[in-house]
Amino acid sequence: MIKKRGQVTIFIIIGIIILAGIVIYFLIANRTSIGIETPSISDPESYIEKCARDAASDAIDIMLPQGGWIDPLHYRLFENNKVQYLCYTNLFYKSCVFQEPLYIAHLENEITGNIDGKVDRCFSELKSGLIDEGYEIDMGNMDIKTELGTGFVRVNIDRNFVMTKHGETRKIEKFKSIFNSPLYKLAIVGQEIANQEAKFCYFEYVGFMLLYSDFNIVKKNVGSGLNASKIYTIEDRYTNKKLNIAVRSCAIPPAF
Amino acid sequence: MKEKRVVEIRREKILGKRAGITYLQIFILILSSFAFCYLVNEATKPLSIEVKNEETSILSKIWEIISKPIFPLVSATALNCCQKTKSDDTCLDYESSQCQNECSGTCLPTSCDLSADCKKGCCYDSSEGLCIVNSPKVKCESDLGGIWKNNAECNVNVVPECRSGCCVLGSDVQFVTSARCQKLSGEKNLAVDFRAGITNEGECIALRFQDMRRACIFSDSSCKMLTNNECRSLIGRNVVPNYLCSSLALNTTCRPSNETTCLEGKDEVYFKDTCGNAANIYDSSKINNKDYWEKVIDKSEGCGASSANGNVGSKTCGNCFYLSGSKCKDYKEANMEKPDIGEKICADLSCKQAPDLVDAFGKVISKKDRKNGESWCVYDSAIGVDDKNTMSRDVVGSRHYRYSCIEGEVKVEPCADFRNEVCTESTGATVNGTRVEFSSAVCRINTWQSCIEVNTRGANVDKEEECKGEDCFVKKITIDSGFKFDICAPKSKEGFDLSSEGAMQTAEQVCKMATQTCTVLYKKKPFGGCVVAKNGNCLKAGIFTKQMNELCVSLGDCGGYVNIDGDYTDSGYTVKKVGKLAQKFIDEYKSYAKPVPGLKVVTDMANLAGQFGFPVDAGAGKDKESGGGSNTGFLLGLGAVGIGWAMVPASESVAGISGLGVLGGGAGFGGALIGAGIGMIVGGLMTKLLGVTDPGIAMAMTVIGGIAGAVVGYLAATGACGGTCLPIIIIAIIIMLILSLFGAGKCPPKKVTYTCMPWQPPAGGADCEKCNSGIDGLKTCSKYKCQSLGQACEFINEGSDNELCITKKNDGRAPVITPNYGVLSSNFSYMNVTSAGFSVRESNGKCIEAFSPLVFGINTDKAAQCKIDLKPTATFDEMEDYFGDSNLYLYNHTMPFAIPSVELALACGNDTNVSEADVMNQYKNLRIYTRCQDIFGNLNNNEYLVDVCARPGPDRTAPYITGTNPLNNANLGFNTTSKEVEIYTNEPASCKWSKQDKDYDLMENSFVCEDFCEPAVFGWKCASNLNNMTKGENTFYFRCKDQPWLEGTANESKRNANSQGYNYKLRVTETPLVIDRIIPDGTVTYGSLPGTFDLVVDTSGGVENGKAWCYYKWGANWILMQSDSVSWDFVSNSHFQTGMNTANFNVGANSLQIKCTDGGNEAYKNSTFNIQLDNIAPLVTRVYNSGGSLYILTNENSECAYSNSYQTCSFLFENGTQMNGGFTQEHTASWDTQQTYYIKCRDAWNNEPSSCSIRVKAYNDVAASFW
Repeated sequence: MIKKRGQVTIFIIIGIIILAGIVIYFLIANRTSIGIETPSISDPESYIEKCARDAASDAIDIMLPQGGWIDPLHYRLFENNKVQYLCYTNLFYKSCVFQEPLYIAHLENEITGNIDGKVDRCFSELKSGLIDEGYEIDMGNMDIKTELGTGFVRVNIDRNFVMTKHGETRKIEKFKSIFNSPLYKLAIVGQEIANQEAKFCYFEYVGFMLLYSDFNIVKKNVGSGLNASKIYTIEDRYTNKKLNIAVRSCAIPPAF
Repeated sequence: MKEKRVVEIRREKILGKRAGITYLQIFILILSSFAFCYLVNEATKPLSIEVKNEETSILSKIWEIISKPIFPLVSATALNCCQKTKSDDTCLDYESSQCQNECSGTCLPTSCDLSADCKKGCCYDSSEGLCIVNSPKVKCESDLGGIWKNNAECNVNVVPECRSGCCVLGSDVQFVTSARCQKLSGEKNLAVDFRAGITNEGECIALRFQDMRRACIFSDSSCKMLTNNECRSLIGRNVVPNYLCSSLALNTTCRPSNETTCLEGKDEVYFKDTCGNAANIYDSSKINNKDYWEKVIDKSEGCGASSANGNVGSKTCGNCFYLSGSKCKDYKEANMEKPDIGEKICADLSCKQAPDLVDAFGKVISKKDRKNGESWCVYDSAIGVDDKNTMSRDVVGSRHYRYSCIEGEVKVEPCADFRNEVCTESTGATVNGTRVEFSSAVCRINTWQSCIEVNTRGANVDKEEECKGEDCFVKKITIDSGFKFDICAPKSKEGFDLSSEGAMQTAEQVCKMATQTCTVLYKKKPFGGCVVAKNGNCLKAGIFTKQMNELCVSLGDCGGYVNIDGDYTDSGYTVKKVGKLAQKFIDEYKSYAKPVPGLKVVTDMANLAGQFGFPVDAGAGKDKESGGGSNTGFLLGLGAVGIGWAMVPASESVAGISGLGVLGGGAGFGGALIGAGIGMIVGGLMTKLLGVTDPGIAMAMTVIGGIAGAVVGYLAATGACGGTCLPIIIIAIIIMLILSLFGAGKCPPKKVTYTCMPWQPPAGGADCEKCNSGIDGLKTCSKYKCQSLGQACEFINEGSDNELCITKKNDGRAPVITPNYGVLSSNFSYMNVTSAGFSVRESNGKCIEAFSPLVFGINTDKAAQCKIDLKPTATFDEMEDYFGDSNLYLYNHTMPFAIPSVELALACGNDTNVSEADVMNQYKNLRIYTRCQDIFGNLNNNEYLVDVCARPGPDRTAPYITGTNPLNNANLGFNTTSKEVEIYTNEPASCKWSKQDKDYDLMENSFVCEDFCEPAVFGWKCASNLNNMTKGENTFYFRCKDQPWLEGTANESKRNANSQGYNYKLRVTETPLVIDRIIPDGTVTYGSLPGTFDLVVDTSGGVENGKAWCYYKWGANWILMQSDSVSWDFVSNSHFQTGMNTANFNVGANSLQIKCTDGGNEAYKNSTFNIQLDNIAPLVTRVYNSGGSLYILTNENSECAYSNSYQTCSFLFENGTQMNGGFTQEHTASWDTQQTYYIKCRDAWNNEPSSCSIRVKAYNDVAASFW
């Protein structure tokens, strides 16, 4: 009997410990998460860095499945994604014409164009937050640029940001945000695929994967006739991020 | 004076017996010449067995008339360039009729390649060091700042910036341009290590297998394994050569451990030291071997270096090798047993039990182990041609797939749908004498068009010789001695887009190539009845229907065949006078719906590289002569296939017994001769009169007539006829009648017809859902596959991740039929329109006049297939023909209709019992009974009646010429003096020609016209050889006379002749067409191969000062040059083809055959040229000091640069100090005795040495030293 009571007590204690552990875990986890998500406005560089990073990451997430475009105009619908044609010809039997030969520069511009307004809003929020805290804020014009590199995205923001409180002035001229992204690597592979499609009407993706095992490439022939297109999905094996590109090259009409 | 001789003419001499004999002899001589001509004519006239392609033979003639290309379909039409499309695309070519609709900006009246802004070239991205091919100039030079070069291929010989080398980036390598290497090195903060001497990607990648990491020791004695470049970038010091951080000799803080690790970018499992560095490759036997922790051991000297499977699953050795199928992974992730030390293992990347044979719906039939990187072909059904070359077997809806094994995962790549791509596989290769089993597959373009094109090359083409394309086979039709021919057909025929009405109407023309009529000839049996004399096998379904259906099926999705589910339908063909396909053949077809083990399109490994696609701009054979430009041209071109089919005449000579008359002499001889002539004529006429078709009997009757005639003639001439002649004549006639009764008589031929039409899916949609079952994505549903499963199957959500094949809704009602007003020919009206039918009449309400070209039609309120019959029937299946000969499910149904005159019908009718009144009665009551069924098989049971009455009556209008071949005002080649010309008339006629316009009867030359009894929708053909032509313009006049069956009869006067001649002109070219120049010529040098060159051909003379189309010969095909494919017209005398790839030629001597044609002339010339490779860096031949300058001389023109610090010359050429002299053989620099010059030189192709061209150290007392 005593043994039975003891057992029950032990179970209750274990239960309480587990419960407490769970509560503590979530508290800590939440706090950590809050700490990462919301840098204090008293640290304008971090605030803007995170803002630009989030905005650029969001833009990239939109662009990746859409062939590198935020709003594709001429696209092929593939798995519910509008994949913009990187290389295209409307003719049959002809190799495609590159639609965005300076693809990397295009991606940089696309990101910049998309985050420009968001970053500006962040500055406005930062400004009003700081004003609420008693700062006087003087902001100049913003010049924002995105740079893609192997494994990273860098957003450089040039803006005079002067904050004054109690006669103490702090002046910030440059903000920057660097974060990891496979976009550049994927885009280079995408461009190589389109290049070979334009040149040879074909890209040997199995051979490519053997030489460059960082990438997983899937090719799909979709549609027929005027809609006959090839969709290549390039996956970075380390991050599992995927870029779709659409090509219409050397298409053959059905029945003619 | 000479005495005049008086000749006395006596009456008795003129009218006497001897005179009579003389007159008779003269008469005999004259008459016998006619008789002889008649006999020869009759003897040489073939009997009426022939292969008839009724529809396509007409099309083939039109094809000949317009003579336009088949391939490519779009590129050969006039193209306009749109600089900016409505969907924001840049520089796209559109057909001129389409361009304005698609373009938001200017539509240039030329193709983009000929436009300054849109010309495609190489776009060099200097900031990234990337070269982009096929880039429009305007896009490249946009504000993003590319540099555009006029070479669409980015060939390094034209754009040297695009030359790639090996860029070493720490332990990684990339095969990139030097500018890109600089960018990537900068990102990693590494000094540039660009190895220009490595010009092969494989060689570069191989550097990755070398472990270049060495101990990089920090000031606090910590250590990292880095490349020298990384170490220098990090701490400014070199690594310790060959040593590991764990080396005792280095005295670092790093020591051996019992752990292992994987390294990013590397395949192997490594020991890990206590600092976390990857040491040597894991080898459990060496864990305590101090030496193994001292120095770097090369992979090739590590454990299991020769393992064929890359030490997969080895517990003791971590020498994994990706290309052998293994890679470092955690043993749990790899699902393997724990290794002896650590947790990393060489994971197996192969695919165990990979699907090998999979049916169309994803059900795996057999499996096979596959290596990492292997790819293989998987098919939906049986493919290609069977062993006996009888037919192409790919079933409707089927597709080819390429499967591949990558890192243990099977990937599925569907080849292009509609079998526009075929999967071809090589199962291995011999490497250094050892057979390596490694499958490698590609989806490559199915060149089915080239097979069809072979049949357009003319009647005399040897199919066995010409039909050698790897996708083609010779389909032999050998039904009977009078019905056999060859056709070049695709091994994997193309699929039709059943949902596209336009495409299917075109597809009908493809199928119609197999529509053929075989004429079976009969002879009369002794004692009554007829027996087959020729082509009897055409009456046997097991031979005729089977072989014709095999041909039909081999051309495309035509005929009676099966879909991927094994469902057979036979609405793709009809036969007349013979049975349908037997069940055993249908069962055999059904077996083709499953893939066959081991059946692949096999290719050599060596050939795989060339099979990825067709050469850029080769355009799958843009041959204006043999290939087409527009759909129309293609369609018509297909008709020309008929020309190529060998027609086997079944003519048998009748008589020709001219020697019969050579009997006796004098009057007897003459009498016998004329008697024989008359007798043979009578005999010949009797064969016709009695309808004798058997050649033997016909000959016997002619001979009997001849003999009897000769005897009677002889007796008459010698005056011995008396009462003998009449009995002889009577006996002869009796013999002939007996022959006629027992062995001759009316045995009309029978025309057996096979009509080939597009295959139709089964009615309804019961099986649509099967398409969605592709288990685990091994097979995919597609529009083509879906629509093959049923008429009511619909493929929805195309492009989404929810693509589905669904069944359309059945409304359960029959299609509603109404008259189609849109297609009705002018001057005709629909009358008495009710829901049960309508009448077609001339606008004035009268019945339709003979030979009036009438087109009428019906509409259905939903897509429906319609059939007709001239008599009432009980069911849809009983009905004889499809409306307008189309079995397609359409909304608008059209029927061309040409009513022959009553006279023609009677003249050509086989049945002598049919009277004019009968025909007139039929004409007055001509009714077309129609039924239509929708995709579910709902149909109108009560026939819809179309009343089309014909108006009998005297023909009072002259015929007219509807077309000519060659066209009027055509150009002819230089030195042409005669030309075979064909004309087409609107009604049967006989025609004549003259160089002056005169009455028909006065014209000197006749056309030979085809049998007027043969049906002709587009006109009756006559042909003649127009001769005596001279240079320049030649004018001819044609006139025709109708009702040729009245020729020589008492009703000749009823015939109507043209009162005015048809003015026809042909222009004979005054100078020949000449190919003046071909580039390349001589030697073409490249810095790297493959390279490209532009083919240029200049022409002069000919029809219009050298304006022509030029072709180069590629394999068996003539390929139209790029410059000439932009217009239908001959526009230029300078022709080019850019981007010819040297990979398709030999290094060394080459020959390229060129042909140019200007519509009248053809010119041929060969281009002979050498391709030479210069991949050797320039050599320094001399170095000296002169006048305070360092001089170096090189063996070829080059530019040189030097560095004073890079001992191995690993500096980028552009970063070196440029020597003076430019691009010459002499280069100078200032003389500085304090310096060592590390010099490298590169030639025009950017060939650089892998190290220095020369190293020069200057001394005061000696000129210089170099090494």
